[in-house]
Amino acid sequence: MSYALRRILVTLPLLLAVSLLVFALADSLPGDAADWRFAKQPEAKEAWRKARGLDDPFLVRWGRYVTGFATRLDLDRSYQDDEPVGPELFQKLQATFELALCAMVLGVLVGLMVGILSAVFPRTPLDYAGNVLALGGISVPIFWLGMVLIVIAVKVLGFPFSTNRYDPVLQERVADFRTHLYLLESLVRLRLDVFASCAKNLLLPSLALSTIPMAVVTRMTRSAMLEEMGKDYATTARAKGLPARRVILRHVLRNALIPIVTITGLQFGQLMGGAVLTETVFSWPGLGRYIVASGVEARDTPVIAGGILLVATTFIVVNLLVDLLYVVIDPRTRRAP
Amino acid sequence: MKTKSRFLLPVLPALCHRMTQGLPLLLLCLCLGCGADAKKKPPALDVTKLLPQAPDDAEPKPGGIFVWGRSADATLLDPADVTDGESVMVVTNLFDTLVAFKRGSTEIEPSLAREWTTSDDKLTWTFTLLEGIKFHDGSPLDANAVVFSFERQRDPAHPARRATNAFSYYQNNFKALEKVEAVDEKTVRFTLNQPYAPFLAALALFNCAIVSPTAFASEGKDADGRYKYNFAQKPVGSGPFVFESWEKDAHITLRANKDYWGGAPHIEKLVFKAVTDAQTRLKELEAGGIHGMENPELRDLALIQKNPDLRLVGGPGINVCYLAMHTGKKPFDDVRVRQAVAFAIDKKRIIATAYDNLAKPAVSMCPETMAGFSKTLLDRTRDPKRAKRLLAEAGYADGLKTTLSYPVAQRTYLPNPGTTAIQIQQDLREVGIEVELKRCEWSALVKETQTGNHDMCLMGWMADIFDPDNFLYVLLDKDNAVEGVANNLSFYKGERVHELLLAAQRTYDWHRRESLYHEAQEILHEEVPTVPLATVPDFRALRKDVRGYSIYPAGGEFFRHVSFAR
Repeated sequence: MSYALRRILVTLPLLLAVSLLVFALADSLPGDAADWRFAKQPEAKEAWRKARGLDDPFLVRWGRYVTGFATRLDLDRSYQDDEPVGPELFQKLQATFELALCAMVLGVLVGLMVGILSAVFPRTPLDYAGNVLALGGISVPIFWLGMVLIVIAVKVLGFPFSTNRYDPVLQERVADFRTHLYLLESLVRLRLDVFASCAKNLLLPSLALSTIPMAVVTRMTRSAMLEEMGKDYATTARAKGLPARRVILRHVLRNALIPIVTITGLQFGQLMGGAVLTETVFSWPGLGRYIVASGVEARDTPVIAGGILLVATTFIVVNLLVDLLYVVIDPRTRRAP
Repeated sequence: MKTKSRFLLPVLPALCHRMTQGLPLLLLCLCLGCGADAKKKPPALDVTKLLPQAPDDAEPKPGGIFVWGRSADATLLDPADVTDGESVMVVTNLFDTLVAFKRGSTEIEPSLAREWTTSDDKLTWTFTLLEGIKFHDGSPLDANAVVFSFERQRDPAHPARRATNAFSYYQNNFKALEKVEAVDEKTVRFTLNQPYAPFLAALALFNCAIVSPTAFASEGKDADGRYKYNFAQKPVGSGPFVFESWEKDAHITLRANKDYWGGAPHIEKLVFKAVTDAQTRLKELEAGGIHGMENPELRDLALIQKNPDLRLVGGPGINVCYLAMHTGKKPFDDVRVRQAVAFAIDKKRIIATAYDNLAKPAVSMCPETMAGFSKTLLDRTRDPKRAKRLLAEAGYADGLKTTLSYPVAQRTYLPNPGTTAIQIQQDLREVGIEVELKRCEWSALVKETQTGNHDMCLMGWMADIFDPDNFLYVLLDKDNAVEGVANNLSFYKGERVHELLLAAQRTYDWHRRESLYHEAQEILHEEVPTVPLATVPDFRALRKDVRGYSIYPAGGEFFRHVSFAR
């Protein structure tokens, strides 16, 4: 427990540093949001800048932002319409979370399977096929893959491709949802029509995005498995007569899981922040696209800073969870260091 | 050394192995990527088949959800405060204006105002409103609501005005408006401080939409005495559609106003869906996820036209893409240098390479598609020798160096900014002008050019108000050449042009106005503060079963007449 607490405490200065860095970067971009809104009205622009305290020194503004967040969980208001950015960002985070989660599940399942098969049958056509998949997943750019997937789905398979999260017809059916995790909430509420629509719309983007974790997990599983399979305990287990399947799944896989879980955690964090391309190709209303389109392009510092802070927080939380997971997987780590 | 080679040697075969594994994949990618293009030439667009609308059904089928795909989400829905096209196309369906454009035309017709009269000096305009009109919230639309809608844009202390409200369209186009008052419940009087010929056309602009004062007042006022109601997120108008919901970055849903005074829309719901990528948008249209879309890519037009499920509609665009030269700086303060640039540029080639031959070369800054365009103007043909001679006369026989700023992102009038800029660079290099290209993000470019920090820039303009004033006065008058807020990006300050443009603003006789604009265009043609490059037509792609859609040349989208085929 103290380990978890220590880890959480360490993240605080980290987040503070991230916010400072992001704030400084957003601040140094050429042009600002006020130029947009008040293109022809210098006086109105000055009045607004004054009202929002934008003429204060950089550190003062940053301090105000940090205290606002620390005391009221307030992520400031947008420079474009003066509305709080927190709720908007949180909504987008959920959209990205659902996408990243599906991609991750897909990627890890396939990656593990292919990786294990590759390791069990090394240097066979099966292994080579697994390698091609892994190499392809890493080297094929997502925007291209996404486009190809769409073309195949629409032109060849006649798939009713649609970009939104759910069909516009179902709007009344989701009106009372508490979260923006439409797929998960519709499952919990057993609204199968909404679930089917969400799953259908999530399929292509998560398939495209899953190639990244799929490739990494495949490679990692293969190498970790091969390494563990060569160790004495595996040979001993085989020698004392355990069936090969049991040795691989019970003993070798369990030991190989540690690096796989680590990499999975890292990958998930990266997917949360790195889904911009997928979100753009598939018009997924997620955080990455929101930060770029509503934040960077409009020079909306609160959107950029809040968005990146949320991504960083998710990244840190996921990695914390992964570290805690070690304890479950590997009994040796349960002993206090 | 030894340890290194021992480490490297076993890795090498593995590396080669890896690479040969990757090779087929790479080849596959290359084949998939280029195969289609290399094999056959794409079909050409048949312009003769292009119509600006989808056909009407004699008896339109009621019902259905119509989904419109566009490149971005709206930013806000307060009609007085919107500036981007994506927000405009939503508010034009939610609100009514006093006068409006005839369907698919640039002609003005009565809308909320049944009729109007003007005083002899054209300074007082009296409008009579239709009776019995109600806002979506049930409150009556009367003369007071009209006054409210204009007053909040004029009066900085108005309670229905927030600190973030810029109201730029009002600021830009209604300087001549002195006051608006309600004579009685259904009569409104507008008083101008000087004659302003584009006034009626300006009243059809979206920022003149009549908003519901009751909605504004519904949540009380804050400490500063301003209404708390967030109108930009929850708009209430009187138009053919009623605002229902907005999921940011995803979709905006409107439902049909069954009691609309002009006749209820045929479709039940109207959804505006943001699909950023033009390719994805087209694929979604093919799959039927959306029923119509804006801005298809020029290279896809012929394919859309050939697709039996789709319909390509197109009309002449009212826009101009131009090259502006900063006339307040060396070397462009010399008219001979500017003329040399104009003689050096090969518009035909730019249109062939950067516009897929689909745009028209622009001769004047007032587009050919706009009334008032001077048909007698003769465009310069490319003449590098003459350009060199002019440069030599101006003292630049050894050539000169300058910069060209251009946007990264596409614009309707500039579909391939990079290609256009490179073409200009090549053309100018031939006559001895070395151009350094400066690729800028949109907001940075706007700031740089408005403050006059550029030498040359690539820019464009689309009509707000259907009047030549909207191009010539806005883009070339000295009133709009104020550093920091300039629209006149060549900072051209010609006195005679200024006189002509002001005179044209204050004259109501169209023939007289036309001749004033013609004279101004002739002077501008000689003085070359800008080189007009191209006018791009408007294109939309629809599903074949969509009926009753029309392109509105003056901008905005109007979906009241749209229905699905029976």
